Amino acid sequence: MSKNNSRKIKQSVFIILMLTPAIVGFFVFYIYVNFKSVVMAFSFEKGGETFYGLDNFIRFFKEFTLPDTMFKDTILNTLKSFLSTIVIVYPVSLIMCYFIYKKIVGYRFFRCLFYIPAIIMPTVSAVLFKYIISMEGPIDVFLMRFFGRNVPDFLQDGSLAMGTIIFYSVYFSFGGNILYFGGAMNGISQEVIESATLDGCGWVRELISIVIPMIWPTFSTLLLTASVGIFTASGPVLLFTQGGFNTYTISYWIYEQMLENNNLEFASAVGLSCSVIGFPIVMLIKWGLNKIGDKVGA
Amino acid sequence: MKGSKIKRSISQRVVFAVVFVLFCIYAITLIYPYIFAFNAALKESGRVFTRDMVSLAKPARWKNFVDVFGEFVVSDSGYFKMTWNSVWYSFGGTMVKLITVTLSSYVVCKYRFKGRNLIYNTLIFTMVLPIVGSGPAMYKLLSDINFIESPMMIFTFAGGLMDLMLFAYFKSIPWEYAEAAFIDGAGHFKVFYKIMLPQAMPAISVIFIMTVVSCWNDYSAPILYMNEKYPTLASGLYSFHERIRYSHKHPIFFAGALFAILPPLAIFIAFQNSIMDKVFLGGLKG
Repeated sequence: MSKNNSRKIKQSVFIILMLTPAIVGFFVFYIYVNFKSVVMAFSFEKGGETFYGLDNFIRFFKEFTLPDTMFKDTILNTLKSFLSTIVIVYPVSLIMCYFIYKKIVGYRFFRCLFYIPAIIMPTVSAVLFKYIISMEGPIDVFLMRFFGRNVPDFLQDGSLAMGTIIFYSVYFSFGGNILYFGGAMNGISQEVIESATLDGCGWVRELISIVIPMIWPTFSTLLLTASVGIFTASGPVLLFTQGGFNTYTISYWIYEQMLENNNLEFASAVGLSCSVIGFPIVMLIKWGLNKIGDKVGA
Repeated sequence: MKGSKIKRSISQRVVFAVVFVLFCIYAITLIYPYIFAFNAALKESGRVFTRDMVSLAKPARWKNFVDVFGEFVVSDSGYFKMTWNSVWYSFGGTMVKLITVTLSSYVVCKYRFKGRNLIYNTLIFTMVLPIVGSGPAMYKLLSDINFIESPMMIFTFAGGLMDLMLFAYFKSIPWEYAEAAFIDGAGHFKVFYKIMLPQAMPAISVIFIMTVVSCWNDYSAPILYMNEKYPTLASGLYSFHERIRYSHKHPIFFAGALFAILPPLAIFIAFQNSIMDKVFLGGLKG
């Protein structure tokens, strides 16, 4: 009996010790930080004293309804970069991955090369991109030589800058997803594909009716993760324009408040408002993805 | 795949040819910026650069690649110091993260205890919470506990409760080995690091590589929290480039940039097969 007890105690001690680092880290950097974030959202300073109330939210709402507010563009930019991921990046990388899966000539090389943008420092690749599309840059020289005209000022024109940043983010993020899709596609058993081919199944049919349903769990996980980041993942604005030329996004605006150690309570309130708006959207997307998942039988 | 001579119809062949050409064009656009950067790194510093950045560097100033170590300075840190900062930041941060999640993922996966489901469900729940504005609170916390501008920053990587991929991997390792060891009188710790940990190494090393690379490349936290005293290569390159309008040291910047991207590239090329083929398959399916 006592031997059994001491064994139990030993096991409990082991479990507690193993869990301690993760639990402590989680409480400090997740629970506490988010709790503090909510408290900050409701607090504001007046004459050196801290008060609690809805002032930050009222201020956000007021600024939002002003005719020349920057927040409308900010939200719009954020949604644009989110949608570009869903509508362009995932479908295109899925199709690219399909051809790699089908062993197009040189597929090993392509798979490896396409992934490289995902491991290059953004502070390098963004700057390189900046020079490539700049005045006197390679594209400019090319256009000048063959068409006798200059490139537009992509990053210093309010109507082009955000599009340029989104283009950069989209263009260099196919490879990372190919890795995920590729892992899932390799898991499809070759017999299924072969017997479908024998039954006269064309390869477009194969992609739509076999491959996509089989990799649906991966696909929906990626979509869900992207939708959780709906307001946070919005491109390397800092590296391109630092918010100039109509390129603010929610997450960059908040980051800028932190850089300037400025308006932190107000920024928390803006963030919290976006989280509250985002939550039902994520739940809706999750519900939708599950529905589709049931339908395709994955 | 053995003997995979895939037969394709004519229409398929046409499509594959078109896609092949598109892939080649995309590949060239991915490679070209680095040829451009290499050429730019060999050019002469000064205002000349912005007026002519494309032409071939003649004569090629190879010395720029040496001068990086003297001339690439950001807030009193030279290139060597920044490299060192990147090294401890990425390896330290990765170790902190890896140790916390490996221990917890193992216990939650292999032991039954009160609160086990709570941990698992909390993790799943936090994964679908779209939290946007916790940055300012993090900033306040880090400044309250004096983590800002200090190597303590690596401990901020301890925020994860556990890792689902590791959890799935541990699940695939049979428990019989452990039971046999228990019968032989081994304790829980011994079973963990002598039996289970070695078997989980493929998964752990992939997470290690991916985390090291992403820390090495991370610029937003280092710019915000460490750029005065401990600029890393990623944040240092940003700051150096911010002042390039005045310093006109573009070639030095490009030389520094090319050195900075080498370690992740080398790691990736060395481990590409284990990253690409093995673990992601098991990880995401689990």
